[in-house]
Amino acid sequence: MQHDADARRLFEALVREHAGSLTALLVATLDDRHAVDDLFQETCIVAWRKLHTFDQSRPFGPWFRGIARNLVLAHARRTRTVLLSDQLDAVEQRVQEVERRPGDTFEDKLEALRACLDRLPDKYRAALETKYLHGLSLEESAARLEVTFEGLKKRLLRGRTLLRECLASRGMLPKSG
Amino acid sequence: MDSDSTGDFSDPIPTADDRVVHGLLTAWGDHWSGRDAERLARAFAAIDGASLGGRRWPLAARVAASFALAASLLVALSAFVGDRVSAAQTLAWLEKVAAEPIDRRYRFAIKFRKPRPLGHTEVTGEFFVRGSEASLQRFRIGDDREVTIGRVRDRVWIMGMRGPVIVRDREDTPRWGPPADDAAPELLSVSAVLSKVKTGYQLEFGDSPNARSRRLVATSETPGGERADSATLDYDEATGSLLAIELRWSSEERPLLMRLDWEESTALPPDWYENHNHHGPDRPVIDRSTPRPDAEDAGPTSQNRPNRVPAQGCS
Repeated sequence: MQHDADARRLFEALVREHAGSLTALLVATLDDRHAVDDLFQETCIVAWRKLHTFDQSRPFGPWFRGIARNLVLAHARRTRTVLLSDQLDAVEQRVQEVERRPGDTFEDKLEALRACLDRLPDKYRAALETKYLHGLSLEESAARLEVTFEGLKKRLLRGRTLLRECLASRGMLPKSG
Repeated sequence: MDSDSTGDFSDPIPTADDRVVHGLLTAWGDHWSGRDAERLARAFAAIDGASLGGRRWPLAARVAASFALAASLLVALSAFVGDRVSAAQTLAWLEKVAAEPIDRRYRFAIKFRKPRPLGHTEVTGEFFVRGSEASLQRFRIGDDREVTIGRVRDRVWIMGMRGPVIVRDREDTPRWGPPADDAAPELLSVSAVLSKVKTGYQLEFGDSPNARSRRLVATSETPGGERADSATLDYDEATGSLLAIELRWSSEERPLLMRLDWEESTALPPDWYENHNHHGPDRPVIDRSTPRPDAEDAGPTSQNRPNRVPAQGCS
């Protein structure tokens, strides 16, 4: 019983450590936040059940997200969503690159993201923060920022592009050709 | 389609890089809002409720997941000895008392590390809270901007001095944009503050501020993040009622400190925290919250409501 308790404690610590990267992977591949929540939970359950198959000489994150990958593909088949495994693997590859950056926690590794956000022109940073940090809908965000709906979408698109370029310049993402 | 999904973008997010940026931003926002903690709690609860066949972990894996992890576990285990047990029990007691449906009024102050966009470095205001059920914070920025943010159970409403009142689902922690982002999400719920310091913090008793009250200090094991580096909780030794809360951050993303000082405990009208009690009947209300089957007026529509109870404090 004690062994089970130890295993559970270790498992929870590992899952907490990799929860951010799992969320990033799921959000990047699913357009539905409810599905993200569902598959996050399902991934944890399956990982716990299959813990005995985890090779402890290898990193936990890729194994953990590998389970998520299979669940995402199954979800895509169920919902008749077009999602190529190549797309999924490309996303996973980039998440791994983020994970390889120095830092103890996923949040530490997002320091580059914060630094890049701080460097964005105000109008793009405000749009991204209102959408992602404050979680407002597009309509609410547009009202708060006093821009049109279409104007906000352009700012979000441009802001993400600038952010991607900044992250690439910091070695967090590959530089686009 | 969920309104927070990528689906509300007309622009596609076609490349893996773009998708990952979107994923990272969302993960970051979820962490800030506490949505990730809720997701984890649900997952662990689901594991407990699931059938667990063949889940034993090999011995080697149990002892060697990582050196850092083992070290952190040792620290965690040490938290269960001596004084820290009673500190944890005290925190549980404070949380229970704070959740009681009593109206409490506090003064609050948020000090920022650097000037905000409007040039101010401090926000002060009043904060009302009714257990874990409802809260209201009202603060002024400069001479002409006042922001009021209320929460009633799972709904949050936000209004400035002009413009519509926005109502939306709480989803664990507040979601707001300018100008209300001068507030601290911790103000939405004292219970949430207490709940958050239960994990990832070292708890210990501090020097009592006076004869009647005691002090509990929670220090983050991972300072510098979105969560406070430290939380100082002064409470009434006899009743467990929180008399003062001070949160401090070192992260550049957060304020320098936030402080709550208890003013009085009182009894406000049952629906005092509802938005219509705090604005005129001509104010448009944009309700983005999920309709509730038990509320006739909970539909997601813009509407005006009569001002049934005068907007006033309880002093």
